[in-house]
Amino acid sequence: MMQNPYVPYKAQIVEIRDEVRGPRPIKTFKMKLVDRERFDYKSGQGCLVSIFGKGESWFTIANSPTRPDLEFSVLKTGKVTAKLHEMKVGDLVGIRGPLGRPFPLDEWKGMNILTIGGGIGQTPLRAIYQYVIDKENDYGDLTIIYGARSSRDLVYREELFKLIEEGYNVHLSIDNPEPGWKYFVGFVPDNVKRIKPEAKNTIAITCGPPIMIKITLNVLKELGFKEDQIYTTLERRMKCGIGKCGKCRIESYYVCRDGPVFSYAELSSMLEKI
Amino acid sequence: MRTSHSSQSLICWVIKMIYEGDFLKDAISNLLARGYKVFAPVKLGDFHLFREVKSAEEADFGYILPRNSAKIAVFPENEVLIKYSSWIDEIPFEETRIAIVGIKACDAKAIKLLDEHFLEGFVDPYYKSRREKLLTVAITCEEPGINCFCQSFGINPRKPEADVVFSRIGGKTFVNAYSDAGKDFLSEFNLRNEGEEEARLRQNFERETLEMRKIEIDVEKLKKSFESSYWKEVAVNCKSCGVCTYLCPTCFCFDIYDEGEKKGVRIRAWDSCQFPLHTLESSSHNPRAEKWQRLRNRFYDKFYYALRKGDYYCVGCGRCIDFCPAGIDIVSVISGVR
Repeated sequence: MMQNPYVPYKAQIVEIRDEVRGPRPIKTFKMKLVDRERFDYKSGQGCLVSIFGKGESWFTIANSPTRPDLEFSVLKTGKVTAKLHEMKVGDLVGIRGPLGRPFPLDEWKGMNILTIGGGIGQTPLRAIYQYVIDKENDYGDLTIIYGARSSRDLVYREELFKLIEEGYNVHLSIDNPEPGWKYFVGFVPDNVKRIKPEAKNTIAITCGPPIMIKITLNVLKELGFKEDQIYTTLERRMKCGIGKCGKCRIESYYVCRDGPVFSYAELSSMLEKI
Repeated sequence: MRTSHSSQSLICWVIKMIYEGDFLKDAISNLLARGYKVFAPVKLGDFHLFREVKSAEEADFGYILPRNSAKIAVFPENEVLIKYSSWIDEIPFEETRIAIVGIKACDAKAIKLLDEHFLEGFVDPYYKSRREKLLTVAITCEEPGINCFCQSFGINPRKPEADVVFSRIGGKTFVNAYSDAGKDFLSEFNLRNEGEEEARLRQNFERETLEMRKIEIDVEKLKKSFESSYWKEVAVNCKSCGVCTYLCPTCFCFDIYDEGEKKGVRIRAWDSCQFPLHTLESSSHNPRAEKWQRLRNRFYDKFYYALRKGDYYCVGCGRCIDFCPAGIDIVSVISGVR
């Protein structure tokens, strides 16, 4: 970590991919640090991307540290993200990080990994499934369940279709029927109910809109998952990223520093329900 | 002159002396002459505010407690973190030594709590740059204010945790140093050792318990009452104005924002958990959308969540009671949890 944790590293945008077009566009930015080699991070950690004159926003790193790139998938929703969406390859931004507590992927060795994502919530899960794919000998079965409002809203669409072709256990869904859609139609928790993943020796990681997480948790419990088998990664408004500004605090936990990854066992021991 | 001191564990040496003259004003003059940035109470109408002073005359010590807390000396209401144009131009840091003259025991304890927050884990370099150059000259309380309850937290208003402590007892000026920095500072003054009778006078003064309000904290009850409708009742008249957090000596939340498009400053400024924007996410989800949730957060933050670190984040200064426009009284609220 840098000496003054409020001062960002300089980074350059080296590639931009359109993930989702339309009124709620999502782009994935591949970035490269300018003055230094890539930093070490773990799946689940995030960075504050900084644009002077606009501010800073937290994004979970969208790819696994086993891959050579540093990627962030950004939904256009505020000042910083709107500016990012205007930026071109070659433009400079600031990056502070890596920040936060990652997924305990070392502890999960030997277990089956189940990711359940909704919308842009797929981002941290991608950092997990890429890792598990790259270290497949260390883990049991990998199951990816992912859904969005429509097929156009699915992020990493091409990557996921390719994984299906390669024989990976990927279950996609969209909320409403569309011509030519070959996969499940309905909400993500319903897809989980349909697939009935085995709870034994499995870690389930879920990320998406709060309502999706809430219902998914119930479905997982019905399937026999215990609270310490379920993980999520939280989103909160964040400014400092280092547990000082107080914005992302839940009880005495700072999501930026003590999270964003929490087990459901940890979350349910808190008074303030998520 | 040096005696080992056992009652306050952090303190190595203490010197106890008598000064003939206006010590506080002379202290300010001395500090200013040596280039310190000095924060002291300034009288404005019928109240006092801690402010930076440029002369001893500006300061006035006829108060029980200034309206704002002394934390502004180490954690100002706003400060520049980074000056930028296309990239970082400058990272400003406090170079000057800082002194607070006239701090009371409650605010002095609050700075220790802020230390825990800003200096543990990731070190906040801006806070640290001020804190490590800080000298505190405290005043003991003769009388408590109507909403004071510092003794509930084991704070002795007659024995502040500061580098130098000033007391006015029986018409005499007692000055004690409780740190090396304080001892060095006192070496600038013409002091005499206290006599036996004076020592007794001072000790009796320090031992005296003041008649003040008392807060009853039942942590188990707090834990059980989180979902109680009590919090909605408590918050009925809350205006979400945030004055409680603004005046609180232990509140530390802040916002960071950029001012200036092509050229400007990245600023941090105090923020408040009472404001809905504090936690509003870009997705429009707000984990504390209701004012009673935000008010509850403030109380749990001070008396329940902070306990994981071992301290209540309240020092009993009573400012939030004095100035709440809705009459929300932290002592009654916490003591009456159900």
